[in-house]
Amino acid sequence: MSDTTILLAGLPDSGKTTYLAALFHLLRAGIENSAGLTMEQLPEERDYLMEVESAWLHFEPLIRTVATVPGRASISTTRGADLLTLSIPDIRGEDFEHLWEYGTTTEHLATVAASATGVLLFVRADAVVPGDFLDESVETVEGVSFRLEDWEPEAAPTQTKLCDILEQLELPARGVPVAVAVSAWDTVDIREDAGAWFQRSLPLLWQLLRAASSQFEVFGISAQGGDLNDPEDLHRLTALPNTTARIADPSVRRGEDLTLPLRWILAESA
Amino acid sequence: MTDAGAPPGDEGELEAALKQASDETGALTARSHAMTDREASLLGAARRPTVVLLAGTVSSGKTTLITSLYERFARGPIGATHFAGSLTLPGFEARARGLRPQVGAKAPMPHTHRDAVPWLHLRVLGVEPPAMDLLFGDFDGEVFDRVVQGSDLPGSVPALRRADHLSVVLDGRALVSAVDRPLAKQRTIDLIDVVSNRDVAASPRALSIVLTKLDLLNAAETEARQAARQVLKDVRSHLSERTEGAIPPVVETAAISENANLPLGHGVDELLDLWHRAPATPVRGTEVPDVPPTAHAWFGRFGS
Repeated sequence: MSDTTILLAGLPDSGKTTYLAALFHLLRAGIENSAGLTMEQLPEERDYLMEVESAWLHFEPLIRTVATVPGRASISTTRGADLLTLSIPDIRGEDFEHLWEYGTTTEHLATVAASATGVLLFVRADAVVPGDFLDESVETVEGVSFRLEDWEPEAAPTQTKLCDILEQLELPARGVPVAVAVSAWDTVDIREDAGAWFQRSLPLLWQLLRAASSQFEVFGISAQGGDLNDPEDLHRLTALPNTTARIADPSVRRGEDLTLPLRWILAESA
Repeated sequence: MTDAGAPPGDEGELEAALKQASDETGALTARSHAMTDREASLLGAARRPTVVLLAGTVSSGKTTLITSLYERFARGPIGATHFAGSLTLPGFEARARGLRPQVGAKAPMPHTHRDAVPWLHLRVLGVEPPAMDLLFGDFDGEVFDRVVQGSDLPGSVPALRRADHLSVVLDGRALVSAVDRPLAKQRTIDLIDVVSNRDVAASPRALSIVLTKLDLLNAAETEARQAARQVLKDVRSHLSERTEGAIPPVVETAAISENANLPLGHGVDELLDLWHRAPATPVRGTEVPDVPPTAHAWFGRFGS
């Protein structure tokens, strides 16, 4: 049996928990998937997984990690003839935000990052904070005085935060493969390739990953299957014949197979 | 952010606050935005970065130029050079925030405080590996003014000796002003006289000239523009004389500009080329053994 720890990384509300919930349900349902994973039995420690799965089944947006303690997700699977334990701890987005703002990490995050053989880095397609480039300025105001407290770390561009987080966790330096999951992929023009979107939307992060010694790949993911705040979308999703169609039926789902990033990570870290 | 009641240009606020943040301890203290001398020394001992120093008077555009390099990378590669990481992204962001529009207004960049934590780090990857570490000394212009005036010895700024690239900065805005031009020229010449001393810069090959605010120079009236160009020529000649006839590189930049012909970070491409082409220089006239510097002695490595 082999153990693989995958770090789910990303800022708050980037889709980590939604992904975990959908993935757990997919595996429970025994749906054939591109990573070839099969969950033979429920994990012994499953309260967190079932909690998030319940919210997902109830079409509730998983706005933030519901647990006040780090969510444990250790799933025993088979992959062909191999037994594989996937450990995918659900770390709060706030912990990553804290790392950016204060330069300190929780012990749990540090431990997971140090042992991770792959990273699933979440970026929400409809929530990227862009840089505010200097040549877009409108006018100059005389006599304005800048104070340090005027700098709001939370207002920094998304790509800057994520670059810094990866740097602080020393993941590029260690050559850990990074699968970028662009979540809420259903909000993006479906004609655009995920890799092209990523390079265009987060060029600083794209450069960092490209320059790193590890491999990276980009995947468009929709773990909800649509916008739960859109009445039309919600109606469409609730009318589907079963609980997995919105993530597993290629004619219905709005992104790639949820397990495709895992398949890639497993191949790169082998 | 705008504060109509604030006194104009309290220029030390940003960097004084940055220094305070770097001095404080505690898990919930805001991160230090840049690296201290000690942290830069540790990096130097581990990775042998290329040290870049822009030497110029207060408000000559040094910080803006360094920040524009980060802003350019935030849009994409600069030529064939890719961003490959930074240990001081908060530092770049804090400085960029001072430049970016706030509710439709652009705040002037306050000058770097004398005691501010000065070192900014970038790692860049050119066409071929390995990636190169760049350390930028974002020093207060007063530091150089005090050395020129003789209030401080050059040895009190050990980074002058350690710099692989030491660029004398000419402020384009000052050069096109008939009132400011004479003093700007004289102070630049004075600075050249100091840094070109064989006990100061590590090598004449480390020295170059960077013109900032090219957009303002280009937009000036013909007479002012010509006068500015003459000063640039005179300064370059003077530096050449002081460095035994070497022809110093001159890079013209416009870090931020409303001129569409001078986009964001104009000139940083050339600067990257310069830093790539001429890596760390040995001490003039000596054979320096390739001994990694000890962490705490890094900035005193070539000192007397």
